[in-house]
Order: sequence, then C-alpha cells, then structure tokens
Amino acid sequence: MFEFLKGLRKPGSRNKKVNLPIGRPVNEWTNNSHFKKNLGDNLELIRKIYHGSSDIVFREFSGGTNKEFKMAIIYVDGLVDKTIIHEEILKSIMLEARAVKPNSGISKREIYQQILSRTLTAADIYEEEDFKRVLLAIASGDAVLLIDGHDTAICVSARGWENRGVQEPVTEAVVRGPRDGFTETLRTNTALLRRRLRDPNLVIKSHVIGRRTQTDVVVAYLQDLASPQIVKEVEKRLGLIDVDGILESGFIEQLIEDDWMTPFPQIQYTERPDAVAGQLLEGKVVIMVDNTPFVLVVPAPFMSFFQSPEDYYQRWMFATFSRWIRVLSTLITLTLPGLYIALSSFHPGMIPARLVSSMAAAHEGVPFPAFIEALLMTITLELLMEAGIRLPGPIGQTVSIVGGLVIGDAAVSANLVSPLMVIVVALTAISSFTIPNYNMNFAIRVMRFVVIFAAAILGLLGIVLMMLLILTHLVNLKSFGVGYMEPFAPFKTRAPFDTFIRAPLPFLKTRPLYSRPQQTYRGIDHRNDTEQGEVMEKSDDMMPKLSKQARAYQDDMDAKRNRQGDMDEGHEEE
Amino acid sequence: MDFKRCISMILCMIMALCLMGCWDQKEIEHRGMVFSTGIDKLIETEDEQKKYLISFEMPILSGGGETGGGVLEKPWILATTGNTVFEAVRQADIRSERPLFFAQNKVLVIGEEIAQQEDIRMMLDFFLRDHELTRNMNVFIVKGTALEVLNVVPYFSDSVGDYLRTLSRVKYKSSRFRATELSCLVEDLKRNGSALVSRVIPSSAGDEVKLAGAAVIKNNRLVGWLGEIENRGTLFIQDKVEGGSIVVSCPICSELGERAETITFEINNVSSKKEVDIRGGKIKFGIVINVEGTIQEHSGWQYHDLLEQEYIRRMEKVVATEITREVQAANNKLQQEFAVDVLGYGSYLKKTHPDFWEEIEEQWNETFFPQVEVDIHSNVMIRRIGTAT
Repeated sequence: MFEFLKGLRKPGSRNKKVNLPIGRPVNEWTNNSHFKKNLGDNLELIRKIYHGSSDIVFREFSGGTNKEFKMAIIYVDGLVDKTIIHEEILKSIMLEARAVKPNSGISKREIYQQILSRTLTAADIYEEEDFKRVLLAIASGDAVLLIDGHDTAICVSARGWENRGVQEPVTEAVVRGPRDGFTETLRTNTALLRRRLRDPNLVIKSHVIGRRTQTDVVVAYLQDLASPQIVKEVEKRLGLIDVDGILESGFIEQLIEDDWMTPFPQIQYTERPDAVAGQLLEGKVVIMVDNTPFVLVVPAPFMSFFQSPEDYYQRWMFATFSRWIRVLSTLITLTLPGLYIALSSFHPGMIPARLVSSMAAAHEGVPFPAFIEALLMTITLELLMEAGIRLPGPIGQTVSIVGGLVIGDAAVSANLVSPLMVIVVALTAISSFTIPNYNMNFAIRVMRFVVIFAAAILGLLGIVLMMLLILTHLVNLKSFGVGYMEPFAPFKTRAPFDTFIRAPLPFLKTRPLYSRPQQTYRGIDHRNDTEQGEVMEKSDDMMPKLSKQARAYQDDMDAKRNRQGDMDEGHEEE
Repeated sequence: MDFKRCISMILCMIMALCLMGCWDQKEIEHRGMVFSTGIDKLIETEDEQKKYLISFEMPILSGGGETGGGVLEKPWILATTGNTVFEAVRQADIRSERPLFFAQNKVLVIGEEIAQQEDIRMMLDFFLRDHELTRNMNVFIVKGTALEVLNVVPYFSDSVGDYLRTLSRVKYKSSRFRATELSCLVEDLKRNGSALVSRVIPSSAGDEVKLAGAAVIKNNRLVGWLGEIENRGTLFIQDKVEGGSIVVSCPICSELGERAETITFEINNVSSKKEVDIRGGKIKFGIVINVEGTIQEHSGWQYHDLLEQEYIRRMEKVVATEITREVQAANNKLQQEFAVDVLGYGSYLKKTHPDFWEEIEEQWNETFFPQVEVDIHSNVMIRRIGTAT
C-alpha cells in the first residue's frame, strides 16, 4: 500500500556499487604496513596501532640455551584460553628450547621452522604474512607468535572466551521438541547445525562484513537442494553491504530485504537449530551472524510465519488444529477492534437484537465514541506490552498489576470505556500472541491500527477496502524473488496441504515449491515399496562427492546387501 | 518530481476521505433504537389531515459501570400522530433527543380499526422503502389497538418486539397462528390485494399477549378473522404446518357402547400437494395431505392395547377424517364467507395452466373462485405411540 511512497527512495541508494572488498578495514595503516625482520620494530608498530590499549598483551620471552632467540606472543586478554597459551605455546617453546643442547647448530633461520613443525603442540596453527590479517586474528582471539628475524607471524588458535552456553530458546518455546537453542558464538551455532545435518552437501560459507566490527557472517545451504539463484542472490546482496558495524542479524535482515516500505517481514528469523535444519531440508538458505543467536532464513513467504517447528513433531490433527487457531487469531487481531467500531457506530442493524441492547447499554454513559475508546484501549495495551518487555522482572509485575487494574477495572468503573471494549481488546491481545513469529505479530498489530482507522471512517466498507489493500500489498511483495503469497498466489493445487492443514507426514512427499528446491521429492512415504526404491536412487545421487575410501566402503556394503538378498534397504542406509 | 507526485497523491487521498466523511457514523447509544412499531387509528381528532397514531417502543438502557448495564424494565412508548407514517416518525424525532433508528425494528403491529379503514399496503410503504429497515420484520394485526400490545411488559423478554418475534418462532409447537414476514406479506398483497396476517390478541389484564389465528385481508383491508383451528386448516393447504395436536374420540368405544375416550394425536411431519383439473370447464382442485405423527395421550389405556395394528389403523382413519373436516371448514370459510383467494389457488392455476388463466384472470376473484370445487383428502400415519402402551 506504500507503493506510491517508493518515489521517495533515492535512486540506487541501496544498490550502490561498493568499491571495497568485503571485510576491508577502513584505517589508513592497512594499506602500507607490513612486517619487518626486526622483532622490536614489529612490536613497536603493533603497539602504535592499538594506541596502547590495556587489553592487548605483549609477552616477550627468549628461547634457546643462550637466550639468543627473541620471541613475543601477542593476544587479547579475555578472548584467549590462557591454558592453551601456557601449555601449548610458552611451555613447549621454553622447555623444548631448553632441551636443545648447546652448539647443536640451530641457527636463527632454522628456529622458525623448528618451532612451527616440532615445538608448538597446539592443534590449530597457521602462518600469516599479511599484516592486516594478523591484526584480525588477534582481535578474533588468536595468539600471534612473532620471532625475531622473521617477517612471518605464526597464529595459534587459542580462542576461548566467556560464553552463554547452549540454552533453551526464550522466544520460541515448544512443548515438544529439542530444548537447545543457538548461542552468541557462531562456531557453536554451526556445530549445532552440523550435528543435525551430517550430509556432506551442507555448505557453510563464511563472509566478513562490517568495516569496523569485522563480523563473521555465514551462509548455509544444502548444495544439491537449495536454488542456485537464491543462493547467488543472497551472496550478491551480502556483498553489497557496506556499513561499519553488524551488531545483530537484524542489521543484515534490514540491509538485504526486498522491500523496506512494508510492515511485513520478508525474512524469517529463528533461534532454534531444529527449525533451521528443517528449513534447510526444504531447500531454503540460512544466514548466520556471529554474536547473535538469531539466524535468518530466506525465502520467507507469508504463510511460513505462521508455522512452528512443533507443527511437524506433533501428530497432524493437532498441528492442523493449532494452525487454524493461528489463522483465526490473526484475523481476530487484525479486524476485531475495527469490527466493533464498524458495527457499533455504523451498522447497529447488523447486530442481533438482544446483543444490540446490551451493547448500547454497556456504552451508555461512556463519553467517547467507540473509535476513541478502541484507540485508547489498544494504545494502553501496547504501552503495557512495551513496558512489560523493557522492565526488569520484579518491576514488571507491578506494571502488570497496575495495568491490569487500570485496563480491566478502573476504566470500566469510571465509565471511561465499556466492558465490551475491554473484552474486545483483551481478546485481541491474547490472539496476537498466538502468532509464532514476533516480527509478523508486530506487523499484524500495526495493521490493526490501520483497520481501526478505516473502520472509524467508513465502517464495514472501510474494513473491506483496507483488507483489499492489505491483500494487494501482500501479493505484490517478494521475498528473494519468491512471491510473498505463494503458494496461494499463484495458486498451486497442493497449497492448503502444508499451510492451512498440516497433512499427515506420509502425504507430504514434496518440498514446498516456493523455495524452488532442486529436488522436489522428499521421500517420506515409508508405506509404498516402489517409491521406497525411488528414494534410494535419489539418495545415491546425493553422494557424488564422497571420497574414494567412502565409495569403496559403500560398494562393499552393496555387495554384502546383494549377498543377503532382499533386505530392508531403507534401514540399512540409515 | 517524485516527491511532488507523492505529496499530491497523499493530499488527494486525504481530500477523498473528507468527501466521503463519516455521514453514517453515530454512536450506538446515541441512536433511538426502535424495537417495535404500532399503527393505530387516531380517534378524537380535530385535524382531519391526521389519521395515524403511531407508537414506537424504545427500550431505555441503563448505564454501564461495574454492573454492566442492561435494559430497564419499562420501555418508552413514544406515540406520535401524522397523516403518513414518515410524518409521524419525524414528529417523534422532535421529541426524542436520540433520533429514531429502525434497523432493529423487527415487529410491526397494526391496530384493528386502522386496518379495516385504511389501505394496508400504504401503511407498509415506508417500511419497505426506507433503507434502514429490514424486510424480515414480522407484521401482526391486533384484535384491539396496537398501543395495548406495545404497553405489555413481557415477563421474559426485554421488549415487546423481542417477545412477539420470539413467540412467533414457536409456531412449530401448535400451528395455531402464523408468522407473517413483511416481504411475503407485500408479495401477497401485490398479487391480488389479499393476504393472511398473523393475529395478536392482548390479554385483558394487559400483561401478556397471545398469537392466535389470522387476519383476513381483502382488497388491502381487514375483512375478518380466522380462528386458531381454522388457521391451522389453511396452513395444511399451504403445506406450512409444523406441529400441533388433534384430539379425537376413540373409534371403537362408540361401537362397543363404552365410555367415550379421547386420543391426542401430535402432528410431526406434514406434506401436502395440490393438483388442478380444468376439464369440462369446471375448475377442480385436489389437495392431498399426508400427516405423520405420534400418540401423545390415550385415555383408553385400560381398555385398548395400542400395540394392536388394527386399532392403530382405525385411529389413523379417525384422525384423517378430523383433519379433512378441519381443512374443509377453513377452506369453506375463505371461499364462501370471505370469497378471498389467499391460499394461492389462483397462482397455482397460473403456473400450471397459463393460457387458461389468461382467459379467466379478470373474473377469477368474483366469478370463478367461489365456484371452485376443492376436494380434500388426508392420509395419516401414526409413527410412534410413545413410551407406554
């Protein structure tokens, strides 16, 4: 509906070509600094760059019997695991070096190779000549070992900082389902994902975005499922981002979404690894950002915001019922206050006779028209919700008590609002919470105000017009090239089976087509033998990149299987 | 350029909103909700121009607050006068600070006297023409004055309108009255100016009413009444009977010379069919009424066993005879006494024999209809005898 406002957008403001490659820092020193042979010079340079920050630790020490080899370790205090530094670096070098007999002939030139290949016992080490990469390594929690006389740094991965650990997601609670949620550490998150999808086709590609924050951003998808166009589009949009900081995946979401002039979200977020794994299996593309548990999923059409991962864990009737409840509550949230206004101020003739007298009686003595009354109450509700989110727990209780009293009781006793309006607003509030996605919940809540205004101006006609406008707008939206209202517009015959009803799993044989998966067949039917065979063929195709060893093992298994005759192949493959 | 276009579009939209305005918007408690309307003859008038006394029933709503509010016991019966209905409505608008609102007016009561003297179609015209009103409103003709009915304070319902409307839905229990909707009534009147309208009789104590029988309208004026049983007879012909009871005396008792016993038969299911024969220049209608029902009371339980087939068959015959008699009586009254075709004989003839109808249409009401021979036959089947023998 905001189509006409699009003229306001500066031409090409978002699609401006970025000259800098991803992750290039803005500081001047990056362009001309490089390592020198002299350790003292190098340390001086790094000290200067960090402006004497107190959390950067420079540990200078000497090795060799005559202390002839000068070395230094640089790391950020708090980002590294000190035991690794002690045990794997300092102890090894100092003790090992002491064990070398004097005059054993190790020169300054050889000591570098000696340390790299023999002395350091840390698991993850690499050489780095590029000065700015070394700086990034220090900031990321690696310990950097500099040796006098060499212009190459040895980076030891000693990352180990305080983190929250895997906990149950707060925003997406389920009754049935795994209890682990993503954390703020990207590596933990990718591990949670890899644990669920052992398929080698799971691609996890890394990017660094943010000139100053240098945030790790990961794009994950199933190589043989996800649409190459969508993957390419995601990477293209990520590549165009040019900001100095990415603090949360919300930044990425807002910078790569299709249309910002709409309340409706076009990218889904979740903090549940099981939901992400399910989305990947549907052929979607996932964007994970370091320092946040919220993971983005694209493409995200309208109906996907009304699905909960739990829908697939519960039996189908239960899941279908809860989806109906969600659709119903969305309609209630969107239209109920508007309907109340329209019916009571424009069309009292449409209300049943008994209800109309009690409605009128309830409104008797209320000084405001129904529109102001509804606005008053819904704004109060929004205030309460906002206050409830921001305030710490103990004070939050006070707010809810005071708010509950004000909304429910005092306002009615003081004849400021009618009791019916309280019921309408309460019902609206409860309904709005059943929408699983907070983003969509917010969009619907905002649109509710628009519907209230439309109802106050034109009554039922206004509601109908506004709903038409909203629908038109929804149909016009796109999420990464996918129609927002798919599979309803354009309509697919199987559309209702994974939207309004969650069909029994044996019938959900195809992946949702809106994510344009390369393979549409999901192969979930375990009751039909011929189709079982088809599944096996497909799963064979899925493994083209197996190593020789793995392939040999598989051939061996196949031979065994043939010897055993008609075995149940499906379970063998698992 | 873009910015200008955008601003002008927003301005256009705002202007459009002003044009439309909120002309229909009015808070629910600021409307004078009319629940029922009564039309009476204005007596003792000096002004010859005014002929209607129109009363509106508007429930008085108590305020909200913690009790929640509700309808107070006695509604305001606002009575105004006027030469036309709409004039009377505007008269009411100068006396009620809440303008009258008719969308909830579901009941229209017409007094006996005005119905006899004035054109009923004319009275209904406002109720058909005004956009606020709904056509499914119930129309009653009262034996007495409409004001009497509107002044009744019902025991259960909040308003007389609700009382009458709910009461007329209980037709399935007795079929002793009829429910007349405005839309159907107007259709009947349009056909030949005649119709049957449900009759309401206020009690002398003024605390209740009963729906009983029907008012016969001929040439848009009230000409007479049908009683409760006669009304049911007409409903049989129209295939609109939904229930009711028929009391007959036991078929065997009289033969055996025993004490006469009564049997109460309850009608459960009725279907009736019309047929017409115009051979030989005579118009002859045949009506077959099939009735299914239950024995509700059987006072001869000590003499006769209801499990006997033969007994049941004889009982069915007795009930059928009773129904035929009842229908015949009602039909005769309409055909001979009132000479008014309200049961749709003419329209049936028009549907089945359009050419013949065109020939006789002019003289149908006066000449042909009273001469029409109506042959009534009823079949009764007793489906259940209840839970005692």
